[in-house]
Amino acid sequence: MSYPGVDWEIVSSLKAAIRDCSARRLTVATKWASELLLSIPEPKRDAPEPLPERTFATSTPARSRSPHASVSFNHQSPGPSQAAHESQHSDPELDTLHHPDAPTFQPLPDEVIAQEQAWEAEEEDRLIAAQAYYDAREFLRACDVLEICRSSRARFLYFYSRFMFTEKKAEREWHLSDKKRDQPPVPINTSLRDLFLAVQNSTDPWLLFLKALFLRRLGRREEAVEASLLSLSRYPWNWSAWMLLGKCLGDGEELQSMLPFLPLPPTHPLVHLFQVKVSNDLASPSDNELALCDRLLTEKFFPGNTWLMAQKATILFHMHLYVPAGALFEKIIAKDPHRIDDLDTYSAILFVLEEKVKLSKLAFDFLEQERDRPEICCVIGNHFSSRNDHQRAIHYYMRATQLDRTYLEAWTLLGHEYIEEKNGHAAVAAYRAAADADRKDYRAWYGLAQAYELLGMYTYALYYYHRATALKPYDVRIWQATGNCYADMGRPREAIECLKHALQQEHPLTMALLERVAKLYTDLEEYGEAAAHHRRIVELAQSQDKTVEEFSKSYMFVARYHMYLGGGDLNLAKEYLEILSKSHAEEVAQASDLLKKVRILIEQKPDAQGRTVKQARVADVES
Amino acid sequence: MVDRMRLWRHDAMMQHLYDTATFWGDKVLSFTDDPNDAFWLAQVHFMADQFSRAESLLTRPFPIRPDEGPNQHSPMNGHHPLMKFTSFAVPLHGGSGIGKGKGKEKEHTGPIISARLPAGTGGMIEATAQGRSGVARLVDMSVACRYLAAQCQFQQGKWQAAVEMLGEANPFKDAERTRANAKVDEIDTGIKVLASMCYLRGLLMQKANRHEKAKHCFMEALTLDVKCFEALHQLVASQAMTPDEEWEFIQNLPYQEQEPDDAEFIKLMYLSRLRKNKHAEEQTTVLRRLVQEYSLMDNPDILYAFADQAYTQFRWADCFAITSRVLDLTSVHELTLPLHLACMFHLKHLRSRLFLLAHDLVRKEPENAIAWYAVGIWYLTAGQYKDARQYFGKASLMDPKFSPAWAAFGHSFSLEGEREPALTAYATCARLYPGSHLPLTFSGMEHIITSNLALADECLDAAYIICDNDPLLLNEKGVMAYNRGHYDRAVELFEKAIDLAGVTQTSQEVWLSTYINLGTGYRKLARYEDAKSAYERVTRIDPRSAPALAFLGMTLHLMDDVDQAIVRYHEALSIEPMNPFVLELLNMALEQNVEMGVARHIPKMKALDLSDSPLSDAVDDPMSVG
Repeated sequence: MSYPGVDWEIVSSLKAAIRDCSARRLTVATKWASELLLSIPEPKRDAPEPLPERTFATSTPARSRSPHASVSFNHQSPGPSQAAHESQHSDPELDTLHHPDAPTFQPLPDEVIAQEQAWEAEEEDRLIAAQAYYDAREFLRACDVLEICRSSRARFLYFYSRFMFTEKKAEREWHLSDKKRDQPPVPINTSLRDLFLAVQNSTDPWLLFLKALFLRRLGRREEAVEASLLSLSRYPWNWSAWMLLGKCLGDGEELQSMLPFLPLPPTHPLVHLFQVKVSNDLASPSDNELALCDRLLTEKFFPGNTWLMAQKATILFHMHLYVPAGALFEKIIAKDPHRIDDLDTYSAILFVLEEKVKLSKLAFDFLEQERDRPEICCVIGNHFSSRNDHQRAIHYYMRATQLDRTYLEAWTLLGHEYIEEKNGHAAVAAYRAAADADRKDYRAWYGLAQAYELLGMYTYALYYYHRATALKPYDVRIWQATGNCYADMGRPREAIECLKHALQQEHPLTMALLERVAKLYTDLEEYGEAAAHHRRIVELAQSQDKTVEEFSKSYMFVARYHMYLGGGDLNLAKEYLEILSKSHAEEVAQASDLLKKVRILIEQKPDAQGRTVKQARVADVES
Repeated sequence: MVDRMRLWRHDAMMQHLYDTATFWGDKVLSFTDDPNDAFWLAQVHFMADQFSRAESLLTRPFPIRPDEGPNQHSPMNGHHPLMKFTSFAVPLHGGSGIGKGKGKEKEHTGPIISARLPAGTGGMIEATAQGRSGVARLVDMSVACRYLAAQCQFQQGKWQAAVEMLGEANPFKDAERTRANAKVDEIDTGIKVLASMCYLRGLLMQKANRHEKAKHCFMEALTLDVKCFEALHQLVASQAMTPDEEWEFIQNLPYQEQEPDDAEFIKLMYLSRLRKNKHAEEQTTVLRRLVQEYSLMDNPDILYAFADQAYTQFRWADCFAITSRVLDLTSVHELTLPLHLACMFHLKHLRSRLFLLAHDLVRKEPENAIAWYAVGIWYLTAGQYKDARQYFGKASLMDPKFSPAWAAFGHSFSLEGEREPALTAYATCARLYPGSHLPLTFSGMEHIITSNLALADECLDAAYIICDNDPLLLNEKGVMAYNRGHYDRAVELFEKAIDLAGVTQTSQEVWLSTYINLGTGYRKLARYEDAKSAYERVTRIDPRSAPALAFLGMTLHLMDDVDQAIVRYHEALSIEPMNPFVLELLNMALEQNVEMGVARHIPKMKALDLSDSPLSDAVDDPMSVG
C-alpha cells in the first residue's frame, strides 16, 4: 500500500500527536509535529465534509469500531481527534497503516483504554498543575502532585519529571568537580536504574518510550530498540521515540535491517521521515534518501516544511553538493528567518565553499538573535576558524559543547581545531566526546584516529580508522589514511591492501594513491607490482591529458624497471623514455641517456619475447 | 503505728519519694528491728541510688531476737495488704526491676501489689548458725538480701566483692534439683531469685572478662527461669554462642515445665530475637506466627526482628523503613538503633538525616555509647576516617561491650588501608564476641588483602565453623580457593554463596562482586560463555562497573573476539581512565587487532555488523519485539 499523499488520517494523527506530546511535555516532538502539520496545505487540514467516522469505516471495513471512538473530549478540534486524552490507544485509523506482517502490533485492550480515560478525567486537575510545575522547572513538585495518580499519562509525567530532576542533579554534581582531576567525563545519573525498574513492566506506549530511554542510557541498546519499537507500534506519531530509535542504531546496515521491523509499512511517510533523518545522522545519505526527501516536499505531503528542507540540504551537504545545499539553506532562512536548527550545517557549507563574507554575516545576524544556542556558537566558531583564528574558534566550540554536551558537530570541530593547533591530547579528548555522543558518526572516529596518529599511537589510530571505515566503507580518504598509518608502522603489506581498497573507485586522489602504492612496492623490492602501478599512473595521466612533467618519475620508473629490474619489456621502456626525453621534465637528460642504453639493450637481446614484432617496431622507430 | 508507717514507707516508694520512704522506713526499723523492715529500707536506699548505704545496712550485724524469727513476723504484719510483702520472696521483684533500669519500678511493682502471695517459696530463709546465736548479717539470712547486696556492690563497681557475695557458682544447684519437683506444683508466677542471681553472676563474669563462664551463668539463669529475659538478651547481645548453639538452646528451654500457659509465646518471642543468618525459614514462620496469632504487628521488638531479617538479606531500604517505624514508636530502641544507623550508612541519600540523628542522640543521651557511634558513622560516610575512629573509640570506651563500635573501628582502619590496626580491632571484636563469625571473616578479608594466605585460611575456617551459611563468608572462602588456584572449588563456593544470598531485586548490588568473582572463576576454568554471562549480569545491574567491563573485555579477548574486547576495554577505561592493567590489555588487543591484518576489515565490513551486532539478534526474532 503506498501513500499518494497526506490524507485526513495523517492530519488527525498529527493533531492528536501534537496534543499528546504537549501534554507530556515532549517539547521537541511537539515542535516537530506542529511544523509538519503547518506545512500541510490549508484545505487538507480541515476535517472532510462527511463524518470522519464513516471515512475511516470505509478504509477499515474489516475492523469493528472501537468503543472509544464515540468517547470524545471534543473541546479541541472536532471529529476523530478524540485521541487527545487517549494517547495510549491505537487510533483505529492507524490500524490500517500496519503492515500485515508487522509482528509488533498489539493494541491495548479496550477496557484498559476506558480505564485510562476514566482515570485521566479524574486526575485532570492534578495533571494541569503538574504541567505547570514542569514548565516552571519545579520537577519535584510536579512529582509530588502526581504521586497518587494512576493514569498512564500522569505516571509518564511523573517519571519524566523525576528523570529531568535527576538529570539536573547529576549535571549539578558534575559541575561541582569542574576543573578537578577526578571529574568523570560525563555527569553520572545514578537514579536511572531505579527509574527503569519503575517503568519496566509498562504497556503504555509513552511509558515504553521512557523505558527505552532509560535502557539506552543504561547502555542496554538492544532492549532499548525493542522497547521503542513496541512503543511505536502502539503510538506511531511520537517523534521522540523515533529519534530515540535512531540514536540506538549504529550504522547503515542496522538501519536497513531495522526497516522491515518497523510497525508501519515501509511506504508510510513517518518511515520515510525516519529514514531521512537517520541517514543524515549516519552521514551517509544516498540518492534514495534524496528522492524520499523530494517526494515528501511535494505538494501532496509537506510542501515547504523547513525541517524537511534542512534535511534535504544536509543530504546534499553529505553528498558534497555544497552549492545547491547552500542555496537551499538560503531559501530556508528566507522562509523562516529565526530558525536556528541546522544552521551549523549551513555554516559548515559556507566554510567548505570558503564564503567568508557570507559566513560572517550569518554569524553576526544570528549572534544578535540568540547567544546561548549551541548552533550559533558553532556558527561563530566556524567563522573564526575560516579566518584561521583557531584560539577563538576553540573558545566558541567549547562554549557550544558546554551548552550541549551531546552536540556532536561541535565536539568534532573542536577536535579539528586542536589538530590544527597540534594539540593531540586535547583533540583526542574532544573527538572521544564526539564519539561518545554518537557512535555512528564516522567523522568522530576518523578524527580520533588522526589525533592518535599525530600522537604516534598507531595501534589506537588504526583501531579507530577501522571503526570509521566500518561506518563509511567507501570513503577513499579514510582508507588512504589507514594505509598511511600502516605504512608508518612499518607494515607495508597491510598498507598496500588498504590503499588498494581505496583505489577501487575513481577519485581525485587516485593518482596520489597509486604513487603511494608503487612506492611501497618499491620499498618491498617488488618491482613488478611497483612498475604495474606506475604504469597505471602513466595510463591514467595519458587518459586525462595530464602533462608528462607531472608524472615523469613514473615514466622513469617503468622504463628503469623494464631495463634493469627484471621487467624485460624494453620496447615499452623505450617508448616511455622517448616520451620523457621529448618533454620538459627535469629528468630529460637522464632519459635521453637511458634511451641510448635501451636501444643498445634491444639490439643485444634480439631473442626477447615478442621479438619479431618488437624488432619490427624498433626498425620502424629507427628508420 | 508501725503498720501505718510501713504503709507510708511503701507509698513513698511507689511515688519515688525516696527520702520520705527512708525516713519512715528508718523509724519502722528502729521500732521493730525486723529483718523485713531492714530489707525494705535497703531496698529504698538502692532505689535512691544510695548503694553503699544499702550495702552497709544489709551487711551489718543484725540482731535477731530468738523468739522473733522473720517468719513469725509475717502473720503480725499480715493484716495489712501491703505487709504481705514481708516475705523475702517478694522483694526480688524490686531487684529485677532495678536491673532493667530505674524508672520502671512502677510497672514492675504494680503487679506485685495485686498478685503477690505471702511467703513465697523462693524466699526461704537460710538462717545460719550465726544467726541463731542472736546476731547475724541480713545477707546471711536470706538469698534476697544477698542478691540485693550483690546488686549494690555491682552498682558500685565492687565486682570482686559481688562475686564473693554471690559465690562463684550457683550454690543452690543441688538444692534446686531436689526441690524442682515440688516447685512445679506451686503457683509462682514471679521470677525466681536464683535465676536473677545467676544472671547477676553472669554480668560479673563478663566484667571479669570470663566470657565462657558468663555464658554458662546466663544459660543457667534462663534454664532456671525462662522468663529471665535479660539473660537471653545478654547471651544474644554478647554473641557468646554460635548461631546453631543459640538456636538449639533457645528452642529447648523448659518453657512447658515452667510456664505451661505462655510457653509457646515466650518461645516464639525468644526465637525472633536470635540472629537471622541461619534458620531463615523458621524465622519467617516464627515472625508470621507472632504477627498472626498474637497480633503484635506494631510491637517494636517484632518490628526489630523484621528489620534484622531485612538487613541480613541486605535489603537496606526495607530495613530502614522498618527501623524508622520502630523509632517512631519508641524514641530509643537500643537494638534497633545500630541497624538504623547501618542502613543510613548504606543508603547514601540519608546522610543529612544521619547528621541530624547523630546530633539528636548526642544531645539527648550523651551517656549512651550509641550516640557517639552515630557520630562516628557520620564521619565514616564523609570519608573522614580519623575523626570517625575517634568517635568509635569513644563509644567503645563508654561501653566496651558495644560490638558495632568495635567492628566499625576496624572498618575505619580497613577503609584507610591500615591493615595491622584493623586486624587488631577485629581481633578484639572476635574475643568479645566468640559466637560471631563476622570479626573472623573481616580478619580473613584483611589477611587476603595482605596476602597472608595461611592466616586468612585460618580465620575463614574458624568463621566457617561458627557459621557455615553466610554467603559473605563463602565468597571470601571462594576468593581464597581462587588465590590458591583451586578454581573449581572457588566457582563452587561462589555459586553456593549466590545461591544462599537468595538474591532479590533490591539486594543485587551487594552481590555484584560475588558475580564478578564467579565470572573470573569461570574464566580461569575456560568456561567463557558462563563467565561472559556472569559479567554481563553485573553490567546490567551496574552499567558503570569498571572491573566487570574490563573482565568482560578480557573474556571476549580470550574468546578471540578482539573487536568487542576493545569496545569493552574502552568502556572500562572511560570509567576508570588510568587503570594500568586495562590500558595494557587494550594495547595488547589493539596490537592483536593490527596483527590480524587489514583483510579482516575489508571483506568483513558488511558481515561484521550483521553477525556481531547483538541488535540483529533482537531483530531476527520477531517475537522478541512483540
